[in-house]
Amino acid sequence: MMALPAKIEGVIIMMMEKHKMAKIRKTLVAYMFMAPALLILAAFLFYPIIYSLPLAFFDYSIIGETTYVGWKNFSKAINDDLFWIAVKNSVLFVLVVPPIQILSMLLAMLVNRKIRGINFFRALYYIPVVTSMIAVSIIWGWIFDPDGVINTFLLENHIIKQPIYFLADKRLALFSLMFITLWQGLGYYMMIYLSGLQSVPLDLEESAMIDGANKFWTIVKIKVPLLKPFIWFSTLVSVLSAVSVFDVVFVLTEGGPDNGTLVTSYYSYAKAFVDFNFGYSAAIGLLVSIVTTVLSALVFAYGKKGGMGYYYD
Amino acid sequence: MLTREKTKRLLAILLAALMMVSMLAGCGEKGADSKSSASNETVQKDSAKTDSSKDNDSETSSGSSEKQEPVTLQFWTISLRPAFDDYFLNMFSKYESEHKNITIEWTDMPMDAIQSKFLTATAGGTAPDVVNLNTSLALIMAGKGALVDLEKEATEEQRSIYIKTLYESTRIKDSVYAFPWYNTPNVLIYNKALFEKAGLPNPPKTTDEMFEMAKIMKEKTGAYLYIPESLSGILFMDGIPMLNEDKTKAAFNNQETLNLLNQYKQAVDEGYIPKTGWGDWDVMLKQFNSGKLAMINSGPQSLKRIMDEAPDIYKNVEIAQTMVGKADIIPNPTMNLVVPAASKHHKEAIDFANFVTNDENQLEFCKQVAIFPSTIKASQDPFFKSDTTTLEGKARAIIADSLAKTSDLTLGHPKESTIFDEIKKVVEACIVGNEDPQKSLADAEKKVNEILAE
Repeated sequence: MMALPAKIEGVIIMMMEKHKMAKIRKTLVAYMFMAPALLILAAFLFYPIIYSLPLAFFDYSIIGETTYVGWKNFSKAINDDLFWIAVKNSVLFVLVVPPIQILSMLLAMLVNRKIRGINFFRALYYIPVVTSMIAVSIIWGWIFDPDGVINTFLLENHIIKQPIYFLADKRLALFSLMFITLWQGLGYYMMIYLSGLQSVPLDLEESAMIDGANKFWTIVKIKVPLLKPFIWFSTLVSVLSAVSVFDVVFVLTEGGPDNGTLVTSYYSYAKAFVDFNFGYSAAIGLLVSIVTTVLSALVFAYGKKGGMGYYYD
Repeated sequence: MLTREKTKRLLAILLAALMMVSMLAGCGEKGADSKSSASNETVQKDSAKTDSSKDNDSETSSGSSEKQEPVTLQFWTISLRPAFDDYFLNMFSKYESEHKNITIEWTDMPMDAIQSKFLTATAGGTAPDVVNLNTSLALIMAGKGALVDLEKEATEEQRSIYIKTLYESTRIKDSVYAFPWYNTPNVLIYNKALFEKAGLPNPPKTTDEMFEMAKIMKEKTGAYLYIPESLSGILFMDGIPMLNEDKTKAAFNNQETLNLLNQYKQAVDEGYIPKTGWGDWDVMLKQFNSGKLAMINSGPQSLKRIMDEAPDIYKNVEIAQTMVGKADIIPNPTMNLVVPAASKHHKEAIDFANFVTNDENQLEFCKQVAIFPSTIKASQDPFFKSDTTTLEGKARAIIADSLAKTSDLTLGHPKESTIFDEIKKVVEACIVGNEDPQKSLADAEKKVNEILAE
């Protein structure tokens, strides 16, 4: 290759240096913006998580003596009936994932139109997402009350003879909480699917329709497959949210009635802040994290198989 | 001169700093109201200026030749500010004038915050000196070894002023961990219009009468007569022990409890007693205020809420002595004052706690609000029977006559809160969930035994 004149070489090197410095500066600015959030996360999330690792091997109650107990907390959890009830309920909560995904997708298809006022409906469906879960839980608690609006309507119209105990009946309580979670989460996943639908090339849809496909088959054969990456992401997020549900249980049922809504996150909280058994609570948290890791790995594996690669390779 | 790039950089740094500050602004609670007593500053100034004269004073007042070190006592209460500021600040002034070396620092906080704050303060080495706790919390803390045993560290004279049943509320074996303070014994608040409509002349005096009247009330008016207490409350009022004598095993799984449970279950199945809301004061009050419940057992402080929330119902309210079970005990939720073991001034703290809960101060407190004292002499004061014209006055007079048979619902065990939760599940399982009562009792017994064995 022909050697460049020294002057030009010098200019090129200077431009490369300048470009490198600009890149470094940009990166630094980005880290500076991230720094406050990272610091807060480090102090209030990462540090407690790391701290809980050794804590699980101790008997610690803040006031009493701290003693090393080895694997005792873990074996206690494995032999604890309530722990397995909590795990069962948490895994059952994952049943909310398929309906929430299907309904969100349908909702997204419904609002994916260019008609007047559609933004109003999009905002309306999103309002529950930005409402505090505590407020949502309290309001649904009133609605589900034996004297609440649902029972009053059903009783006055003679559809039922006795009120339905949505939150007091062990057979219904968990499903009632799942419904509240579904109601609040719909808007969030709807937005994810909406952005996915808007990225589907129109010409694909049009070609399918020209080839004779009706609306139904267009959705099933064109839109849904192309939404696979979004389905994968939404499923992962909603599975993790379902397994770690806490707010709605804390506000409405505190794990009752009769442990019917006892979930792992609430059980761990109760062990720490009601029984002051922080070591055991940390052990429960670690065991549950294994369960969520397994679930996440399953979702990842499904998502990897014929997911994004299939369509974007 | 600032170039565009430099301006952008400066703005970026400023925004990042603002974000940091705004995130940290959310940290820290504003739950606790902390203020020193009104005379605190004066006392502190005095102590700074006149140390030598103070020493002479302390020698004179204590009768001791020892120099008294200045002591600041941290006093924590639950939800008493700002309504009772004047009362407390005057009390502190009086105590400080009698104990020149002592300064009281008062912190008030909500009920749901006090437990965690107490724990973190103890863990952090900044434990308060005198803390207001309810009986359940006091027993939990006592079980953790966090409280001073008053049987060992308080004098006989200090301990002797209290009503025995209330003083014994925080007994665990040979130790007692709190001075009882103000309490709110139950009284029966009933809607006389509903009773007239049902053709019932008087409210029930016993739970047996309650079952008979509940059917009539529901049939004639459509309203429920009564929402039962929690199962532990029912057992307590009927004198059925929940634990054995040495508190090592559950004792509630027996024929007597089963009969009682079946009796309530039958009434629920026949529709005369509600399925849910047992022992939930909020639910009871809400039902009473909407005219769907004919009577509630509650402290007289509920009258104010009824007056505020349901003035039409309030017009028909009448008072009677609370319904009792076979044991003839009236439930009396009690607030207590405890001295943390981690306090650096046990003697002074015990003396101050005893001062706050003495006859004079408790009587003065009872004149401010419809509560009751825990001391023998104060409880016999004619003030409690002086007003029989207002509902609150009638409530006071009724309670004053029966104060000696009141008792706080307590098992005297540090894990009583967890045990009560397990007993509560019996109702959830068999009354709401239609499970077999015998099985529900057996399951609860097994769980309680596991808790006691831990």
